[in-house]
Amino acid sequence: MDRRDAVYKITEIIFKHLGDSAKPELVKQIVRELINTVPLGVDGTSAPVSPSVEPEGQTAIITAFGKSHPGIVAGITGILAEKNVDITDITQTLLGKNFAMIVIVNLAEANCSFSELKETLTKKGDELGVGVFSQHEELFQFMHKV
Amino acid sequence: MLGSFSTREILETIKMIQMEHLDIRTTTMGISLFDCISSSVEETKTRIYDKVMKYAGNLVQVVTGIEEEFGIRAANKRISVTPVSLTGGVSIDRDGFVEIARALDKACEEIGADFLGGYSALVQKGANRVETEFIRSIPQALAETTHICSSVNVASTRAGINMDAVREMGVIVKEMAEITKDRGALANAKFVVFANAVEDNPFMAGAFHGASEPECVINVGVSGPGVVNHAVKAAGPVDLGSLSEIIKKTVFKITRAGELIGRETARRLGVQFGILDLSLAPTPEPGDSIGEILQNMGLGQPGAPGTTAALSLLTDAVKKGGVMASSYVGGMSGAFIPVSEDAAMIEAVKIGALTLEKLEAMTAVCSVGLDMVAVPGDTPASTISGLIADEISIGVVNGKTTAVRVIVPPGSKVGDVVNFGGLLGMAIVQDINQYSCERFVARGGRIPAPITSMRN
Repeated sequence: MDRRDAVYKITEIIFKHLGDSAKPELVKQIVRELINTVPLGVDGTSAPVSPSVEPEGQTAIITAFGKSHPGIVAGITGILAEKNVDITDITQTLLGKNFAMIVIVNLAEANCSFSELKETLTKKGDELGVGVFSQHEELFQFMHKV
Repeated sequence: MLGSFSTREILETIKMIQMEHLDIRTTTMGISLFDCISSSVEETKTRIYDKVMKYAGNLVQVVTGIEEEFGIRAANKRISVTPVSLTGGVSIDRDGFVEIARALDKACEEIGADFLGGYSALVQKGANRVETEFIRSIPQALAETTHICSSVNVASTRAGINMDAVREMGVIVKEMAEITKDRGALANAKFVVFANAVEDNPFMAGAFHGASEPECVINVGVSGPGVVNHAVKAAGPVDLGSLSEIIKKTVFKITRAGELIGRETARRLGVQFGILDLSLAPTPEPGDSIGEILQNMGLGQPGAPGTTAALSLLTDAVKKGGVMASSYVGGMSGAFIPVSEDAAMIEAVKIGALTLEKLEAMTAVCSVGLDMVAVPGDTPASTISGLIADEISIGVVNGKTTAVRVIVPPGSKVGDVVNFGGLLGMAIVQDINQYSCERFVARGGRIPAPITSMRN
């Protein structure tokens, strides 16, 4: 298991155990502490977390939206791990009884095409009873930034 | 914050696309046909077919790929060509033009595009022999094809109004209604009469690739009445200045989405990006309606006193919001009010709130004209010409585009319903003034250009 997979696994486990109390900030903090103190990855060395610089056109925004229930975050991040898609940021929020999760990902090292990823995520969303929308970042960039 | 976005921004975009019908209404490829002109009809139509296939062959595939990646629907993929009346060459007659229409229709069908526009003529100052032949071919060409759209420009602010052509339009509108009566006079829905037609309009039925346009170009029409409607509704009882601001901000975002898709489509197809048309174009879908925006602005029904003022505010705010969002704005750019394609407008006509005369007044402040209105089957050709002349005058005097797309289903009476289905929607036959204008129309000739045209 390489470092990236390890981070996914850890994030997934933390989300699972914390259940409803899994606030993104808290999860991020725990993951950060863990990977900064425990040696990780195949070569057994630890590395500090630093924001990565994505090449153009490689960033996508994945939004899951629907009725809140446990397992949504785990379901979506599990697929991202499987497809070797790097999560660069993640947040979740409750809008009334609805749950919204937004994941920003870097597709540079993905092991599948964007359309395959999109299809897999949409299917997973159907299983989980949430709508999953996957879009290239440029659309948001164009619509919201001058 | 997520990267450089806030959660609100991301969710707003998702909401616009998923719940408020935000889409790219049309991605239209304009193709020049000038190099297809030859000495025989056979040769010309082969060249035209080959050229359209060469440039637009993978239009649908490319646009579908972009839809997939950006997660925004590109509702229609269309093609516009050089006005066919200019491509005939010397030996062509009416039947020759119909053959070209069939070749274009075949190409459009094979490409999988929705419509192909440009079966058009520009005769604002007069028609030559070939153009006269061409105009007479329009009813048959529309009856025999599925995807072809046609338009005739009969007037401009610089040339005045060609009333001989206006008179002819009344006749051919009736003729095409008659030969497609088994389909609810469908040919009428694919034929527009223009004043000040624009050469880079991506919307149908009036799209054509003007004579001054480049070899091949991508023009995009964005839409979003649904998005604007939600924004107006959510704004509550704010004053009209604030409402204008809200519409501007909303349209800015819609336009940016169109700009991105247009540029990316052009890049992938290896052709030039032309313009972005900022028009708000309704569909029969609930919520995707200009009429509903007017209601949420505070009118009981579209057609109530105040409608023209509300529509002028809307059109102006759409332009102001969009103009900074795109590097090249063109086409119609305003608000469309095709009656049969807008659920709230249909309802307003049904209950008698919206009359033909009020619609005419509204077209003085929005981008097109009397669009998709139905009048009784026994309306004389001269009355249709009079209706066209009135609408066209508004465009000529105000230096703007106006158009008439009128449906005259044979045998229909006031209140009858003509259902086209799909994007063309449902038209209700409206009352039209019964007094004659026959002698006026029969005079023919050319109405001189207005004094406002002298700007040099």
